[in-house]
Amino acid sequence: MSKSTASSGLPGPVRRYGPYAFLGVVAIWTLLPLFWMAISSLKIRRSMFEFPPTIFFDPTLQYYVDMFMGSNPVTPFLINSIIVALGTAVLSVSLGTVGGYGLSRLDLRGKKHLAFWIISTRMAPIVVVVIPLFYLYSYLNLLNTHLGLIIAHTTFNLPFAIWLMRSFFDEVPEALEEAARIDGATKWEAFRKVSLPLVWPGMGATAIIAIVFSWNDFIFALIFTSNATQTMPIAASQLVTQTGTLWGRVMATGVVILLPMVTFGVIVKRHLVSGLTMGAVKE
Amino acid sequence: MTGQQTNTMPTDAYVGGEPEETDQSVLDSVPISFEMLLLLPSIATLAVLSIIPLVVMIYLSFHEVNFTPVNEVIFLGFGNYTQMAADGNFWNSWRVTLFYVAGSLGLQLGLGILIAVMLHRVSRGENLLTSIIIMPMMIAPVVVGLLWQFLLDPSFGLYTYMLNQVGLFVDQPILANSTSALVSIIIMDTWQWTPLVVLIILARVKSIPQHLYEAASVDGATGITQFRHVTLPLLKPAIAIALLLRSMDLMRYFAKVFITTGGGPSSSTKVIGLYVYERALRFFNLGYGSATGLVLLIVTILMGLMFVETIMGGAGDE
Repeated sequence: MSKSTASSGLPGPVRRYGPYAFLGVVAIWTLLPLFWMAISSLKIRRSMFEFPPTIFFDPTLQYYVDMFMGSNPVTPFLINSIIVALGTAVLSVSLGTVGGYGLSRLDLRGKKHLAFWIISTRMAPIVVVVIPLFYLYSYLNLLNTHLGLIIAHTTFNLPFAIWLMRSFFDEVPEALEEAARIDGATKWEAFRKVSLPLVWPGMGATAIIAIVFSWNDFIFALIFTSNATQTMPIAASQLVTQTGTLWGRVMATGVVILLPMVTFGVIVKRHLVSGLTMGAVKE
Repeated sequence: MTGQQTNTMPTDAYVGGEPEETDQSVLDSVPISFEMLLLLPSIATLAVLSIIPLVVMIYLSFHEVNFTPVNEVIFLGFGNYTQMAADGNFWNSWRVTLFYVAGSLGLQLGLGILIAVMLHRVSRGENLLTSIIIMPMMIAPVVVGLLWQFLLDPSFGLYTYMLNQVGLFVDQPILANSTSALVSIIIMDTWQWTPLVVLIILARVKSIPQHLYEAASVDGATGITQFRHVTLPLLKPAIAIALLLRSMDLMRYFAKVFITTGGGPSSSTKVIGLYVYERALRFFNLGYGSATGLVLLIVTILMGLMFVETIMGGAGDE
């Protein structure tokens, strides 16, 4: 199972093309649901529910038009999602950059434990964070506010932002900062003028991953928001009603939710592994 | 990459309002190190967001919380915990969680290693293939749940149709049967998150030096033998990371289950996260919800420590 040319007992064509065939199946398995979602969002009601399902049909943009112009437009949900995602990203990335730098350069005996404690705060089950926060929010009047949801999303974004930024700062040679210090720069200046400009791409990747996590969250949004502050995933879930599911709208809304995030994912692909493993794996 | 860019950084807000004027002598007068000072806002935030909720939760777990007719908190002692021990639904949820987590981990790890090794073997198209397989990870769990519900719908679902062609689920909806519902939520999570395992394993596979394989070939090891004795042992740390991240998230999240089956039929897919959520925030039994949530937290931490021990054996800190 390596690139070695040693014979493995299989005929040549199988060894050569086998992986392509297997990966082709994996690609189809991955893409088929997304493809089906995209074409279903363009089907008129009649052809959507045909059985056996059809691939050829007259496409319509009706569901997309309805989504913004029809009853219960998604526009306010979309605005809430953008506010919360950007707010979370700004808060997590600014705290995470400064904190990640501190953690990277810190010389402390218990550093490993400190780093583990930071990441362990992200491992808590969602409900375990949600229950006490709900209780606290009800006293602090943070229920149903953008700020409340931003703070809640920061609970899972900040620890990973610190670890990720730490891994980026670890790659900046300290010798660069020392050279600046010899030239008379303060520690703050060495951080800001020497190291920070070098981790710009890292900050971008961290921000994008924070946006994705915040944008995709459902449980926090479900519990901490009501009408005025609900986000896109809530809008999608509300299309499932007692009287039936508006599948055309669901599929179109799904496409609107996933398209920007999938685009982001492909853009930051290179940083995605280190991002999602919090710097534990580098590509 | 010039210094001018830094003027627009959002991080300017830290360590006082005007960082330009922060002098080294000012920093020296602070009893803690500069690095610690930078870390402090984050530590404070995380402490507030993790320790305070934890304390509140422990407190609530010993109480009964009522919202109607008036807000009141009644001390129960270990009442919630004795109730939990006798609660069959609670134990059922753990049983479901065990199958869900073990099934998902096994499937995702097996497939993940296989796909990663195959991706490493192909000489062309790796870039395009990785772009494709990362897509599901970026999708909101609600959308994933709704999409799979659509695919598995008994009267017009594409996957139902395909399964019907081979004679399966012709007269029973896939999500209405206890076993197939549980298998469905496992497959749903596998569709979405196997890519993460692939990426973690692939990064490690790439770093295995070629000469190890050559040495193994000289010793007569080929194919499967080589994989077992050269590749697999070297993948151990990566496998541990993959297991850690996936198991934590499988314990943490329940949005996909919430959307597709809602825990049914008859609690056969009610994973523990969903169970705790229902007790605490649907039936507003915050006290009992907190007690069951604490047990979930402890189990999750123990599981995490188990995998971290494996990882931190080597990597970890510098």
